[in-house]
Formats: sequence, C-alpha cells, structure tokens
Amino acid sequence: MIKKHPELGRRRGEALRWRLVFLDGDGPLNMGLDEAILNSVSRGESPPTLRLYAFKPSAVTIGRFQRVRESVDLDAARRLGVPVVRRITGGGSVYHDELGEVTYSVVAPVRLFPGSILDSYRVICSGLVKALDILGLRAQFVPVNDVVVNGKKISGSAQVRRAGALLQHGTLMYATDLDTLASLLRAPREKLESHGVSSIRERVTTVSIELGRGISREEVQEAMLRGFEEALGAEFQRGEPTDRELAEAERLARERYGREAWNLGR
Amino acid sequence: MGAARVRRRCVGGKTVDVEVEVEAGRLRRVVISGDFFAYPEGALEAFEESLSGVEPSRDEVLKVIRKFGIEFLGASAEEIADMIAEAAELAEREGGPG
Repeated sequence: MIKKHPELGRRRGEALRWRLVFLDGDGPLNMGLDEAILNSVSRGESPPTLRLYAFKPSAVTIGRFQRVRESVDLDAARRLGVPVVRRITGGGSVYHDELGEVTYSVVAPVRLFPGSILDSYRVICSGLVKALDILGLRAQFVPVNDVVVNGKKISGSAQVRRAGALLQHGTLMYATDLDTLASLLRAPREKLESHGVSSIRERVTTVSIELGRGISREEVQEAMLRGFEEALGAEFQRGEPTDRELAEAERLARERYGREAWNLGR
Repeated sequence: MGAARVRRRCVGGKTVDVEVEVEAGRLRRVVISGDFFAYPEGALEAFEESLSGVEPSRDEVLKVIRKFGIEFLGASAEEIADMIAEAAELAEREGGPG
C-alpha cells in the first residue's frame, strides 16, 4: 500500500510540479550538488527536486557521524582506486557502483512532509517500494532507512534537514558488484549479529539477483520515476541545475567533499 | 585523566560508539559516532562540544541533550546519555582517582 503524499490529498489529485534532474558526477561533485540543491530549495530559489544519478567513478560514501576506519576498509579502497566521501547526512557506509546502482536525491521544503521525520522517510522510501513493485519485486520499508527484498537490503537512504528544507538521498542497487561492496564496507559485529548474518555480503541483494535476470539502468530509473511520482504526488518536469547551484556544487566539491579534513576527519 | 569507549546496538536499530575522556570527575571530550541520525543539522557536534566540563551522570547529560533539542533516529537520547555515563565510569576507573 503506497502512502500518497499528504498535500496531494488536499489538492484532490492535483500533482505538485517537481524538477527532475539527471546529472552524474564523481563523489565530491555529487555530494556538492545535492547540498547545493538543498540550499537553493531552502532559499526558495528552486522547486522541489528529484535527482537520479550515478557515481562516476564508483565511490564509497560514509555517514556524517561515522568513524571512517569503522565503516570502510581504506586499504581496499586505495587498492581498488575507489574514492571515499563523507555525506552531510547520517546513516551508514554505501558502495555506489557506477554500473550497478541508481542514486536518488529528493529535495523539498519540509512543509511538504508535515508528519514526523520518520514519516518523511517512510513516504519517500515508499517511492522505492513502489518502484520495486513495478519491477516485479515485493519490497518492504524497514525503519529507519532501509528497503529490503526477501529480508535483504536493496536500498538505503539518509536525510538531513536544513533551514526549512530536507534532502534525502539513497541508493537502489540493481546490479551492484556485491563482492566488491563486501570488500570495501565494514560493519560492526554487533550490527551484523542483529541482522542474523555474519558478513555484509549475506545481508545485501540487487534487483537483478532477485529477479534472476539482467536489468537495464533505464528500466530501473523508469520504475523509480513512477514510484516517486506516486509516493510524492509529483509531476516531474525535466530540468537542469541552475548556474548558481552548479557553481555552489563545484565550490562544495572543492572546499568540503574533496578534502581529507572532511572525508576522513571523524 | 582517563578515556574509555562504549559500543551499543541501540533499540532503534543503529550502532553507536561513545568515546569519552574524563578529568577530575568531569567530562572533557566526547565523540559520538555511528550510523544513526541526529536532527537538527549541526546539533550533535554542538552537543559534543558543550559536554566539556559537565558532570558525567545520565541526568546531567540528558539535560544538555534536551537543551539542544536533539532528535535522534535509530537511537534514543536516553541510550546516548546512558552510554556517556557508562563510558565515563569506565574511564574514571581506568584513570584512577582524580
């Protein structure tokens, strides 16, 4: 059962217009652009925005509050040439496989999500649940921020709120190389035990594995658009980041997400 | 001075590490890390800073959390305060009196 966006109900089915952005980048630029869009939406300069993107090259992102050495195998990252970037959002470490996952970000005024913070996770993640349903998989939202299929994690999300706006970004794995993922990410023994597994590898899955067939990125993105359309009560209109957003994204990539002081600093 | 670390899998589902240094019966430095969420943005860092000099009891720490209005997801304010108090006790034992 998909929860409709509350404002949609009030408008009797009239969809809200959202900007839809497709723009890939490397780790620092991707994180810079998400933050720049957050700032722009919070200033009222940009409409609510859904962005779908890839990390080129593949990268690991870690949560704002994580100890880097607890969450990533830095030797493996160096060996594989995978950059590590800290997000402004909390949560855990994520492997963004250039060829196997779609990253989304939802940026909107907080007033569009009138319930609790957890409610807003549920509403946004229901777009992913719906997308997986369209692809033929039965998925569940598991609070706080996971979407699972057959008990395994297929998507994780993380949200930050700043000056009246929220940014939630997350991953949907459709063909992620899970062996590489498992060699890069670390999880505390306590966390794995609580999920009843002994390694990260056992705890994750992909759309392709669950469907038992290959699937194209386009097919996954199309399902995500339809899922978010329904969950957010949104009507997407293809757009581009503004010049100011792009300039700010590049500045943030340089001054924050490209620096060890931020990425390795906790 | 003593230092100690406590890790807990919180009821809300996230793993939290608390590292503390204590000196003369007061918190000196506290770092809270893990895969949890804390709102509003920046409040957790401000909270950590302001714990310096605070008596390491659950109630005193909870007061500071409430002052900052921090909302945790995946962990609770009570769990975090418990962990800080527990780590401080370990740190004091390790560091000896004073």
